[in-house]
This record gives sequence, C-alpha cells and structure tokens, in this order.
Amino acid sequence: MKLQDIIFLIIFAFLLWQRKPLWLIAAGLLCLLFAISLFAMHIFFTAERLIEYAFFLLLAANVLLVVRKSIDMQK
Amino acid sequence: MGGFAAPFAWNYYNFALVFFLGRIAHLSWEVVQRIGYLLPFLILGVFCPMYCYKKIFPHHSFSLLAAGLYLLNSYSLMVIGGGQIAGIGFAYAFLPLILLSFIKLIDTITKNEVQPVQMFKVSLQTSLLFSLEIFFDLRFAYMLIIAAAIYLLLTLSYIFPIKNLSRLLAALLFVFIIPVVISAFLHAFWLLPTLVSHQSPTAALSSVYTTQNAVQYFSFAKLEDTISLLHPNWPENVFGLTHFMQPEFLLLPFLAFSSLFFISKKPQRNTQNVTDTIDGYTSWWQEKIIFYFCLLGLIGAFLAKGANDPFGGLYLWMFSHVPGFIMFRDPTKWYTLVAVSYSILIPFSIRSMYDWLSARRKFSIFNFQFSIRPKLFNLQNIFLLLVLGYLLFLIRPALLGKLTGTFQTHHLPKEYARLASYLETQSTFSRTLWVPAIQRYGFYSSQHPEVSAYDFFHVTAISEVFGHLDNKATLPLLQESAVKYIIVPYDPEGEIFLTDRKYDQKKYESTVIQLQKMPWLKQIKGFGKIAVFEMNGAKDHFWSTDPAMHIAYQFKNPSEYFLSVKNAKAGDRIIFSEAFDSHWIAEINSSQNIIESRNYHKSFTSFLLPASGKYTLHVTYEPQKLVTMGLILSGWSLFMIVVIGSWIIIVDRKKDI
Repeated sequence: MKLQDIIFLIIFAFLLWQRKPLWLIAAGLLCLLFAISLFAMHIFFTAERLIEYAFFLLLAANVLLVVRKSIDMQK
Repeated sequence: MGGFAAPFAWNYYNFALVFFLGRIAHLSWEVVQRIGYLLPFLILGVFCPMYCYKKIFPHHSFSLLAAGLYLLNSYSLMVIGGGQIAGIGFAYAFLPLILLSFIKLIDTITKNEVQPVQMFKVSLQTSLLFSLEIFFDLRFAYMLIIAAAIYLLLTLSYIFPIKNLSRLLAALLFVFIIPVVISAFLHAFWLLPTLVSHQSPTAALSSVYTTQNAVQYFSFAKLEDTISLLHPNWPENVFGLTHFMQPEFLLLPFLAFSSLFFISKKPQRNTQNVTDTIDGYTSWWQEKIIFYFCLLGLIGAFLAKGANDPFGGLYLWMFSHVPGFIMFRDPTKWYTLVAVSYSILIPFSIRSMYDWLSARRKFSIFNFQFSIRPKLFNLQNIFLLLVLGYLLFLIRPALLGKLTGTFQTHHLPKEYARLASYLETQSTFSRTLWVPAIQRYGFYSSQHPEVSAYDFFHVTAISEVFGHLDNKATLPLLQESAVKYIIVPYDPEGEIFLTDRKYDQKKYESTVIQLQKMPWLKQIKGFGKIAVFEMNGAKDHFWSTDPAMHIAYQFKNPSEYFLSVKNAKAGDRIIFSEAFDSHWIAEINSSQNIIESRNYHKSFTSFLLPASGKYTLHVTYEPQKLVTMGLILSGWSLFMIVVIGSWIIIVDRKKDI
C-alpha cells in the first residue's frame, strides 16, 4: 500500500463519516479531472490509482444516496 | 471434425437471413449486407435508445444525443467494424428497449393497485422482447437479467420493509420466472436437444474458451478504459493491440456522473409516473432511474475490465462459479451496460447544464454587470456546440475514414474464387486443412469442410503445427480424417502470419517452404499466393478397414446419410470420419434394428456390422429429431402467446369501453 492509498482511505473514511453524498461525488469527479491531466503527462501509475479512487467514491456516493432516499421514503 | 452444435443454435438467424436473401432471393452480398444487416441495425440503434430516453425524460429534447452516444461510441463502432452486426450488433441495438420494458414491468409490479392480469400483460410483452434478444445473442439476454435484477433490488430498497411478501413473490414470478419460461418454450428448438442429450455446451469448446487463463488473456481493458467507454482496441481494432490511455475520453464519465448533481433536492415524492413530472424538477421516479443508471454504469465498467485490477480476482471467481458467466470469456461485452448507462446520463447532464446556463442571463465580474441577450450566440448554445464538438472529436478516426474492417471496401481475391471453383468440381467428399488457420475468404461446404490446423492439432503456434506434421503418425490420421488438401492461405488482410501484430511475409514463405519439403505432399499450381498441396490416400466420408467391402452413400443433410454396403463380413467396421459422438446411430434396412456408434482410434465415429452380407443403413444424428420436435414446440408456444396476448388486449379494451 502506497502513501497515496493511505491518504485516499483517510479521505474516504472521513467523507463516509460525514455522510454527505455530494462531497463524495465531488471528490470522485475531481479524481477524474486530475487523472485526465496525469494521463496527458504520461504519469500512468498515479492516474490509474485516481481512476480507482473515483470509481469507489462514486459507488459509495450512489449507495449512500439510495440508502438516504429509501429512509426518506419511509418517513 | 464435427460436433454437437445445438447449444449455439440460438444464433441461427445469422445464417438463415443470409440463406434466404442470398440463395433464394438471389441478391448480391452487397445488397444482403445492407438490407439484412446494416439498415435494420441503424434503425434499431437510433430508435431504441431514443425511445428509451424519451420515455424516461419526456420533457427533454436531447433524445437524439442519446442515440448518437449509444450508436457512435468506440465500443459500438468496433462491433460494427469487426463485422459483428448480425447477432451482437442487433442484440446491442435492441438492448435499451428491452431494459426499458423490464423497468416498466418492475414498476408495474411494485405499484399497489395493479391487478395480476395487468402484471401478466406487461410480463408477456417483456418475455417476447427478451426471447428476441436471446435470438440475437444469449449473452446480451444474460446481461439484461442482471440489469433487471439490479433495478428490482433498487426498487425494493425504496419500498423496504416490504409489508406484503406476496408482492416480492409476484416480482420474482413476473420479472424472472415468466420471461425465462416463455423464452425457454420459444427457444425449445435448441434447448430441447441440449437438455435431453445431456451434453454440456462447453464440452465442444477447447480450454481456450473455458479456463481462467483465457479470461486473463482476454482482459485487455483497464478500469480507465471501461469507465471512459473507450474500447481497448480503438481505433485500429487489431486483436490485442492496445494504446496508452486517451485522456480526452475521461470527460465522458465526468459528464455522466455529474448527473447526480442535477437531481432535485426536493423531488415530488408522490409521483410515480413520468407524466407527473413538472419541467425543471426530477420526479421521484426519474431520480431513481438516475441512481440506477449510475450504478449500472459503474457495475458495467467493473465487469468489462475482467481480470484486471481492482479486484480482478472477483471476475475470475464469478467466471468459475456463477452459472452462465462462462459465456463472458471476453469481458468487453459488459461495455454495453456502460454504453446504455451513459446514453441516459450524459444527455441528462448536458440538458441540465444547458438549463442552468439558460437561467443565467446576467452575470457580474468585478462589480461589472453583464447581460446576455442574443438568441443564438448565448452561453447555453456555445456550451452545446462545445459538447457536440467534443463528442465528434472522440470519434474522429471514424469521421476521417480511418476505421478498418467493414468500414472499408474489400474485394474477394481472384485466387480464392479460383480455389472455390476448383473444390466445387471435386465430387468426392474431402476436407481441406488450412495451415496454420482458416482465412476468412476460404471456401467450405458440406462436401468439403475446412479445418484449421490449430484446431485439428489443438495448438496455438505454427512451429507446433509443423511439430505434428513431421510426426509419422500424422499422415494416417490425416488420411483417416478425409483430408485431401493442405492449404497455406494467402493473407491479404494481414490476420494470420503476424509478428508483433504486423503481417510477416517471411512467416508465410517459410510455411510454404516447409510444406514443399514434405515428400507426401504434391503442390498444385494455379492458385496464385494460395499454396495448395494434395495428399494421396485420403479416405472417404464413410470407409472400412476391410478393403473387400464396398460402400456407397448418399448425403441428405449433415445429420442424415443413406448407406448401401456390399461384401460385408460379421465384425467389419464402417468408419464415419466425424468426431466420435455416441448419438450417431445406424438403422439397418429400415427396420428397428439399430447399430450404436463406437469410438475408433479415440477419434472417429464407427459402426460394427453384426453379420455378413448386404446392408442398407440409415445413419442419423439422434438429437436432430429433438430439434424438429423443439421447432414444433417453439411454433406452438408462439401461437399460444399471440392468442393469450390478443385475448388480454381485447378484454382490456372492453373494460375501457
């Protein structure tokens, strides 16, 4: 596990703890944008990692949104 | 060398259409290609995603963009360029419509006030569409079931805890059991022989198709490719040739997942129908649909990368343990889920951004107020132009005519036409062995089947083929297999003789020279760059180890032959040069006496004659009878569905009146 993975896990855990799906989406989209510039500069390893982070952030955001909506629907 | 093909007969349409248009209507291949494949594909490919988008967002006017994204992305263009329109192409084009039908079905079932008859009506419609998808490609039907299951789970999570257990059971019955059972009846023509004969569909396939190593080999796409809807072989479409990531494609997932920002903070909770939507707000249902397509896109991207990181082992595990997953040796098929997801999400995001920009006619910079008045050159239109320019930029190789395959005109080389004419004049049965592999223009017929040396010797390299050809045991094996001609193909498309994925003339020449050195082969001149070698002693389709026996046979179809045998002795063996299959039987003199097939030399089908004398034998492949029975069952099932469907429609109309 590299340093960047540890940083990602910390941010990911913080965002999940905050339970703010929009922050997760924003973080996921930012990862995609950063990955574009890194791929363009041929910095592949970090760019590939950013894509994976984006994937997990967006997935978590989606699940969180669905859970929140289903709770809303029960009220 | 022959085999059990019933499990793959669902794609019979591919051959039937060519047969009817070409052989019966006598249309040229150019016309058959356009009328039979290209035109219906384009119509379906535009209509289905447009209809799907229009049904989800009836107040949005960007449905043409949905069609453009679905039809003109790198994956679909590679499918078209690879000549896969028949089957995969149709299944791909048709998929959004069937997915919408499943969504409608699940929504109908989860509503409280709907009657079972209404549920059955929608389930019947979905079943018919689902059956049609199986007809095009079984794998796409499998993907649809998974996509429907995800939507059902999402819908159930919205109405959780499920107060009524019967509603859950109804969902399982109407969404999965009824469509699968109806499809099974409609596809009885290939399912019946497959199930009754107890032959595994994978038994006919080599390890190249069924092992985890094969999946790892075929996992060309990485997560950055799949999430960007970028086919790993784009744009050359050369098998295995991948490039560095093209970062401009990453804007596609950015646009797609931006849609999550544009769902209303307070959607209308009590609206389940799309028609209840008010402009500018997403309804409860539309919001669920956006969540669903985001989830579908992410799952599709994860599966399409196959055995690559992250969690590549999960795909390998599913390939070995999840029923039906064995069909996805090539994980790129899962790109379809990403394509259908983005064809909904991206137009929605763009429309939402367009609306957002339209609402901002005034803006300020350093306390200076600006107002945008022009109707044409305003922010929203400039944004739209930029997006369109970007989407066209992504598919620039297609626009500049750089795509290969079916996007380019190909002419049949004269050599191949000459070889076809030559083989057609040969009246006796014989096989052609293509070294190292069959070329796409190579001629074959029931009288002269073609065999690839790679498949025949179960190898993957030319050197290994020659390792077998140099073996003394190979000559009798080829003779017994009725191989009369060994052919080195002319490779104008550069697909066979490759070094580092480029055509290698030396490889071709070396193959020809090595065959010329073989003393038991005689080269026949007159076929240009196709090197044709004839070998002596090739057996007929039916032959015997007893030289005194005389066999005359008549071919009716590939599963039925009539034999007249003279001078037979008790215990003589008739060898049928087809791969051994215990389902071949020989009926003696139109009686009920049957000779069962036996394995000869661990390769061929053979029949042991019980007594001396003359015989009239009727050799048949038993599962073929089940195909006929299955066809009748399929026909009756279709008839019954039409009758029941019509009855429901009539009853519904009477109620309305």
